[in-house]
Amino acid sequence: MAAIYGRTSAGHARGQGLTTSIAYAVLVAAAALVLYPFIVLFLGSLKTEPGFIANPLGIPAKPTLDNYVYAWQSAHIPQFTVNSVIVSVATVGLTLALASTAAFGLSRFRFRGGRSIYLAFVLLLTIPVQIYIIPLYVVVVRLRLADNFLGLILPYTAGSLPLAVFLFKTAFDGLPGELLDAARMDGCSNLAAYWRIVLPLSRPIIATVTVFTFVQAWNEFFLALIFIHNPALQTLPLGLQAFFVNQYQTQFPQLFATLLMSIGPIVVVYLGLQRQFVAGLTAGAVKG
Amino acid sequence: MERPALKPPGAGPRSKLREWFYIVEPYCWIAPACVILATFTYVPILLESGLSFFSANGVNAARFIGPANYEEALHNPDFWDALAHNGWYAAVTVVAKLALALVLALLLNLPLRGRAVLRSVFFLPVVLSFVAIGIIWTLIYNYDYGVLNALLSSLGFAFLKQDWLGSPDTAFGAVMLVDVWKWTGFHLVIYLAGLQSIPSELYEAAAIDGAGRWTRFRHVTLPLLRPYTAINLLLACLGAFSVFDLVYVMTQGGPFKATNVVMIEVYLQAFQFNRLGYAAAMSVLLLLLVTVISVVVLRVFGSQPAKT
Repeated sequence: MAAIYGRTSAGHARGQGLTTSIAYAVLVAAAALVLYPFIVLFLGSLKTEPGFIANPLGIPAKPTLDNYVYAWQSAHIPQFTVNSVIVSVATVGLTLALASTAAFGLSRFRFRGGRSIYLAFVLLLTIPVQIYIIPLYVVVVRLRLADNFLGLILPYTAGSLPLAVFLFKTAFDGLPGELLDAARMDGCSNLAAYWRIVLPLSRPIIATVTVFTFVQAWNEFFLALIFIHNPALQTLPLGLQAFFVNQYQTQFPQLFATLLMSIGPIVVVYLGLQRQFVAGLTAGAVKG
Repeated sequence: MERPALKPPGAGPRSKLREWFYIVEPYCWIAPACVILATFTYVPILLESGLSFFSANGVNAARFIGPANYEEALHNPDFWDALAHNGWYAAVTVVAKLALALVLALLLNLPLRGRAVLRSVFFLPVVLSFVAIGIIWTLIYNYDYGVLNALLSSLGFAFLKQDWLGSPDTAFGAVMLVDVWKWTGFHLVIYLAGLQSIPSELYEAAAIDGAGRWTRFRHVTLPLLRPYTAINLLLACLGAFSVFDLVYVMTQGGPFKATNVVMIEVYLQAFQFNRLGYAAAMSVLLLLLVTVISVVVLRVFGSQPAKT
């Protein structure tokens, strides 16, 4: 819309100033609504229990870090975080490996059934995993993967594959064919072409797939709730929920600290890689 | 993709082997992904359709009972109530999210300073789990120590204090608000991408033709945003009909089933009462509904926008 303002008269310029002010007011108010819960959480996490009950909204009179010590030691947040890192990183690695090879196969060769197989991947884009969770549970139990990280990693990977294969294949289809033909002339095998030419050219897609696969695995709750019963194997969302259910009503400052410590890692990574996160998490929607 | 692999050059003594490899190679590339996909998506989906015709509790042998599970679901007021809750959830959250996202995206598309920061703030809840967000808001809504009631008191509105999640009148709205709070930033970013794809010449041409702000929005912006509205609508609807995490963490479907949605009902039947067949039948019905909704949304909104 900037272009419109470029050719407007002085009267419009005044209007533009007003528009800008209103826009700022609305946007800042909305941003405040998004941030306010985190601010309250942070301030509350520095209060003692009586301090919080006396003054739930304001600045803590005597800030204390005791609640964080509690979250670290008693709420097992480090353990849950390590579990989540293992599950998420493995899911990302497996998804990248499987999706990129499958997309390479589907993009590089024409073969019987290729189209139908691609369709089978894409068809699942709009089916939420919740809907087939019961038989998935049956499968996971039969494969003896319940209470096992693989019982999460493999279904998470399967859940990420449709979008990952779609994005990789779209990217591979867009690579100039001469590149690979030239490579073959030089005696380069398909495997070498995939590893030395196609993958290095697909870094943006690798980043995108990494982000959405990681965030999905990191935040997933329903499967973990049903497949994991051993407290030592709980991922962050599961551990957090179990911890929350077992808490007494008034220990709010401890809960605040626990919550902040549990969302800390993903928030820090998000703040460092905002561009990649926004692109990665909306890629399916924008490109689909 | 018109790039068939060239036949291997030369027909030496090993050409038979090469011929064979030439046929098999593509399948080697796709096999690992296909195995994982089939095992953890297609096999369960097929199993589910089968399971829905059985009486199964996961312990004793399953017993074939024909369409009885479907009949039970379709005659059970709990199922219909849950479905109606999903319908309301979809109607309210989808409209709220898309309207808010569109307004904020239009504003963020203005040449303002600090838009990148604002966008990052709006997107922050998107990267967090429904569990963390559900707990945060459960604490905010708490009657005795929650921030919301404390705010109302301190602003002089103490009479508005509520047991937000404990009362059947307010619980569902309170949960829906959190969903809107979490996802608006996501839909905003998609709308923003749509707005930035509209060539500015279109607006200039419209302005030269004397089109006012509203006319330009109505006849240029909205039609060209249509594909983006379609995908926003689709994703928001899918989320609304398969919602589980948020409701489970905040209310577990209560109080008095006021927030009972289909996935909560499925979870209770399958994993609390061990009625796997009945829960599978409800899941299949939900799957059919979600498929119909996806097709309708894509048919109605997915068509190319009229050229303006």
